[in-house]
Amino acid sequence: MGNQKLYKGSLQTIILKLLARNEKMYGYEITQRVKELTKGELQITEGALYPALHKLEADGLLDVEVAKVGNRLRKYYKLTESGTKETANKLAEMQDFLETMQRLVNPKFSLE
Amino acid sequence: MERKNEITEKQLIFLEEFLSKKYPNISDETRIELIDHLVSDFETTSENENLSQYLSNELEFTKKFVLNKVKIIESNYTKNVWQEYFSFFTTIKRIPITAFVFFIIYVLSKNMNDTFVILTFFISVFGIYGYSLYLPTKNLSKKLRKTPQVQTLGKGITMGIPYIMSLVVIFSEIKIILLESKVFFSLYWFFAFSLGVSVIIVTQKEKKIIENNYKHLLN
Repeated sequence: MGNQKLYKGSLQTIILKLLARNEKMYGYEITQRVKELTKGELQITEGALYPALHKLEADGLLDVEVAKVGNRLRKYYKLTESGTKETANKLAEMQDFLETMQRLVNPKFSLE
Repeated sequence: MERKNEITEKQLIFLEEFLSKKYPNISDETRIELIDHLVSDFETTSENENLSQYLSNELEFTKKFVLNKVKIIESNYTKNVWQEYFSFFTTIKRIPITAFVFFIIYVLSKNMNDTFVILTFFISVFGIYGYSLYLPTKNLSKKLRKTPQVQTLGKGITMGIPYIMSLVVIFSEIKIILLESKVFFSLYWFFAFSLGVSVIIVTQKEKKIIENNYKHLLN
């Protein structure tokens, strides 16, 4: 498992991106999808996921919907209009960050 | 997601009763999410079918889940009240009203005798405080009244400030210092009053959202 601390600041971006790709998701599904996509490299704990989801919901970036699944009810999250805009902003920020890191850890030296 | 076992109807009832006993005042929305998470995790990760054992391992998570939700609701409410308060000075449409209210307060402070000024100050600020306590539960179902979303309304530091400010004026000698400068006292009064008004406005907005969410969620 990689260094979880490196991923910590990106949790909201990861959630928003997943929800942009899937129309609606529930909490447990998000943790499992991240594990699956990163082949177990990144494991979002429930202790970190739910506060992040609730914060995004309180900030108006996520909307919720409850549906009956089997013998119980399930709370789904989906992006709001401002959530969709924020996803684009966060992804652009992330792209800039990755490019900067790339320049720092792997600088291309000129041979002039 | 691969499931290792499936929760039975009896176990689900046990889980619901366990949460209702442990956290009687959590909202339906929080309860639904918590049950679904615990069941999904139990079905995916537990090799044996001992739900009680699983729940005792998850006690810390359950507690944090409920407390964090309340914390987020409270901090969001406080943030909204301050945003509302600052909008009195930053929203073009509101600035004339803000200026007018301050002018009225200043005129009252300047022209009335000190006892009457203190009395008017107390009635206006304490009246808002009283209303902020009554407003959240007004015309609201008993079930909704118990939820943390509603319990947070009209409470916390934002309403505590005007409350303390009004008590300080009534019961301490600070009023003598404050009343020496009518401008300063007007600013003091205006701050306590407008912060109280912000609490009322945000409470009304949040109440509508909570009612709508519940209708929509549990439909």
